[in-house]
Amino acid sequence: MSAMLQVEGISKYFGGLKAVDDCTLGVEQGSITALIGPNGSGKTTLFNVVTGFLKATKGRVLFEGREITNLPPHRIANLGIARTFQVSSLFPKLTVWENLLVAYPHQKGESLWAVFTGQGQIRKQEEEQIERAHRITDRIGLAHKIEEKAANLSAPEARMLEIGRQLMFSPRLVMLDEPSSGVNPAMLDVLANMIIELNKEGMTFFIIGHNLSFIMKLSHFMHVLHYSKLIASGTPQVVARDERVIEAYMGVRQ
Amino acid sequence: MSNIILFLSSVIALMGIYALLTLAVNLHYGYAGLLSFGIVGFAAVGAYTYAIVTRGAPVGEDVYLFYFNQPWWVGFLAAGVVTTLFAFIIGLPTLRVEGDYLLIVTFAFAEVIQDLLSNEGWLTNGTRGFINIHLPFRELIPGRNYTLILAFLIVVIVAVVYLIAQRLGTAPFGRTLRAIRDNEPAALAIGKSVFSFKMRVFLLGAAICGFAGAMYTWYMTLAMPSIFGMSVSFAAWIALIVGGQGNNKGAIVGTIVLLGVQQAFKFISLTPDMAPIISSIQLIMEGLVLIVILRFWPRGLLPEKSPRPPKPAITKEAI
Repeated sequence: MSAMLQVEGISKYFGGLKAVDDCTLGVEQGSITALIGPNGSGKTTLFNVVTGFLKATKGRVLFEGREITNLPPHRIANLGIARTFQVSSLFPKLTVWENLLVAYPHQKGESLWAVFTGQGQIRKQEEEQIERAHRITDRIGLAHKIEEKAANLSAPEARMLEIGRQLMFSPRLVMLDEPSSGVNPAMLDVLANMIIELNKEGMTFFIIGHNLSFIMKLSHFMHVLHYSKLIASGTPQVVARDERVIEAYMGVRQ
Repeated sequence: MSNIILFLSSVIALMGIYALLTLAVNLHYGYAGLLSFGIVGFAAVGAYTYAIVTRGAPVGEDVYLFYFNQPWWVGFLAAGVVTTLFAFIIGLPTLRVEGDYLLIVTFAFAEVIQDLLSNEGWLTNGTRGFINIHLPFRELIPGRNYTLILAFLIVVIVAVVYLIAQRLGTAPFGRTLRAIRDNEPAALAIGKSVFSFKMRVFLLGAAICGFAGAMYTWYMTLAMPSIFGMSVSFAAWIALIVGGQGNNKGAIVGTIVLLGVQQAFKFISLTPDMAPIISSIQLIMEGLVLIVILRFWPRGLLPEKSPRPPKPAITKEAI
């Protein structure tokens, strides 16, 4: 059986620097798959290549059997892959509800023609979507802040809103880059539960994580990058006992 | 008394023209975050298109070759269309560059346009420009009272453009523009074709500038390279920052404040020898207005307002 997302021999070179070197890995449909590795091992670069923000030097990326290598980012997103960034993925001057509503696909009101001729249709679509947005804010605990600007949210609230927006966009694969950064330990559990819940509802996750205990608890499957190369893949239990992974994180045992 | 009314209506006409430019800057920068300084270049293209399309045969020392002798409304529409085409050609390469680079490119575009107007006499009649511009409804109202009609016509056009800008700004189209302005990679990541949005708003703003340029020739009754200097772009930008970025009402209010201060000085230049002094003070005053406003209203007089969420449709359970 082939994976939902397949990365085949992807390399990304910046001049002489090999940021990602001949990486082959997969993300199974319905899984929470983690990508871990020490700083600078190429995790974010790999994410950027998969989502089209960087062009691959070599190799190819397949999503649901279809080649998506080097497509423009918005095309890849519209195929059903959403992603967040290490820095905020929110629109700071937009309110919470706008941050949600801006994300739903096929907006009639984005066509200039419709703005002047199809006002009724646009209103109907917006009303349907605001209902979804209300359900989402209830779920992520931001119902009371729906008219607040995203810039005024706390770091954990902002992370929850980023997750909430994925619901609005309703992708099949969600790629989260460091969702745990800037989130306090108490909120970390809420965030983890949210991800597990969404996964049970059928959303596939591919997550970069620095916080190992968080990521170990969460994921079904892990890939480990070290010095731009994939050094291990497997369940968290297997990966945690892998000699090379321990070496990469702890150094060589004398 | 009637002198004052005529003066005021000419002020209103000028305010209206600048209000259009400021609304265009607001679409470009306030909504989409495009640092577009080519405003005056688009206005110049619109103005000359209008002049050439409505022009009769050359007389005396005129050197231009093309003239089309069309009524004013044909020229007016042509001004919008030709400016949009220009903007498309400019936008294709430049909208791919970001931030400060776009600023430099659009700035250069406006400068190049001004040079072309001076040097390509076969098309633009060179530095002589076009005098005796064909004015709308001129036959109906001869004499000085024409200014009243002009002011009225301009106010109507500004109202229409304001309503269009407002409709666009509050529609999902405007929301996506503001999202792109706030965080471009994130907008790409939710599947927005950033380039297409930037291009569409760039063309819209440019078209508005083209119309404003044609209207500026009505106001001046001529089209000359010298009236399309960079100071026009700066005035529109200052007006927007004074009024409030991302707010169409702010764009209008900012224009009224800035031009109000400018024109108030014209009003007190009573004797001819005072005129040069007043015109230098006018520039100082523009700067002063900007500083004072930014000191007390750092986000402008009318800052960007967050729209209210739409009311959800009444669900079946509720009935």
